[in-house]
Amino acid sequence: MKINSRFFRKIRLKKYVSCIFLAIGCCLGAQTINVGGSNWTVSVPTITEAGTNYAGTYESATNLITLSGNLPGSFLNLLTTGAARVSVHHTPTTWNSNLHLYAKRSGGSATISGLCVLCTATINGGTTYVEIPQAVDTAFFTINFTGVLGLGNSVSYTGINTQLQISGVSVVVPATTYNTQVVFTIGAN
Amino acid sequence: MILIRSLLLLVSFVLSGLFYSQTTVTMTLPIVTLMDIEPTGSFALNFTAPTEAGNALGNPTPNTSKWVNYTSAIAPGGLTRKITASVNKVIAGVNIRLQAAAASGAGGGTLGTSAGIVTLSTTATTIISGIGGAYTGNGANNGHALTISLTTNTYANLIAQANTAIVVTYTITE
Repeated sequence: MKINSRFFRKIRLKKYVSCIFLAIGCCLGAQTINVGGSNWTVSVPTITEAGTNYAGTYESATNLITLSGNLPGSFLNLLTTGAARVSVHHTPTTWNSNLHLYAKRSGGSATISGLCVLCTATINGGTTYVEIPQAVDTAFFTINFTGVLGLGNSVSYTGINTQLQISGVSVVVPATTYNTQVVFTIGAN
Repeated sequence: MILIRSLLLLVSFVLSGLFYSQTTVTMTLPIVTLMDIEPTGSFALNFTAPTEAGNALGNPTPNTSKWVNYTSAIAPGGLTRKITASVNKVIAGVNIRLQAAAASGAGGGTLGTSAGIVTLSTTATTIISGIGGAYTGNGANNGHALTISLTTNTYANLIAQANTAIVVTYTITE
């Protein structure tokens, strides 16, 4: 017996549409950023001479953090300025307003995948210390993309070594443990 | 309904990328309580005998060579520090006086306040108080200059003596 009612046709149509959206959804991704490396425990030397203060400024290893990630074609298409921006801020648990955090990057590369005409991707900025504000993002560096997007394009960026610096360390700052989370965010510039 | 669910699924896939990532920074600042007297070494204060009958002993010229240096880091809401001084013994008929000047030099923070001229005894006496998170700078010409002097008090108690060594003990405490 053949069932061909209007009701079942409607159900079948909805299933097809759902499948199409599922397929699109599976193929699309979003820009990503990954923080590799380790957390930073600032090594503050012990004061042994009365009258002296801390040096005040301390730096992490140059490769404390390694940033990497991916910019899919769907995201690149949305970049009106042709650049993605990595921003940074920090979210303290315990902090003091005399303490200031900075970040700078060294190295890193951006690679284009897929069929792309005259495409280039470069990492720019962030090679001198940028102060990391609390709560509000500030620009750290950009990943600039030029060219005509083709099929299956994406830009992956890797090996962006990031160094942190803290200043304002002093005996004037109350003696306790300070803790904050440095957050890197990627989005359109 | 299925259409809405699919749209939500699509949005969730698009948003599933890692837009942000983070690392932690930790720093521990310890409590610090350090104090010393600069420069090190002893000094002599000598009364001079009068050359004219009926005159009093001549008081020695006060010593102004010593400086108090300190570094103080206190916990949030912690008590301020003070510096006390005492002598190991007193000399009959003689006052041993000490005055800490206001802090000067390369220091910073909440530096202490002088108690003015105090007469030292074997009981600790506060010479500087109200020290918060602070550092004075290191060495002579940094911190609180000390003026140490001798004066006579009750002449009847004076006894002629030579090379009476007095140890002045300075302590920083809450």
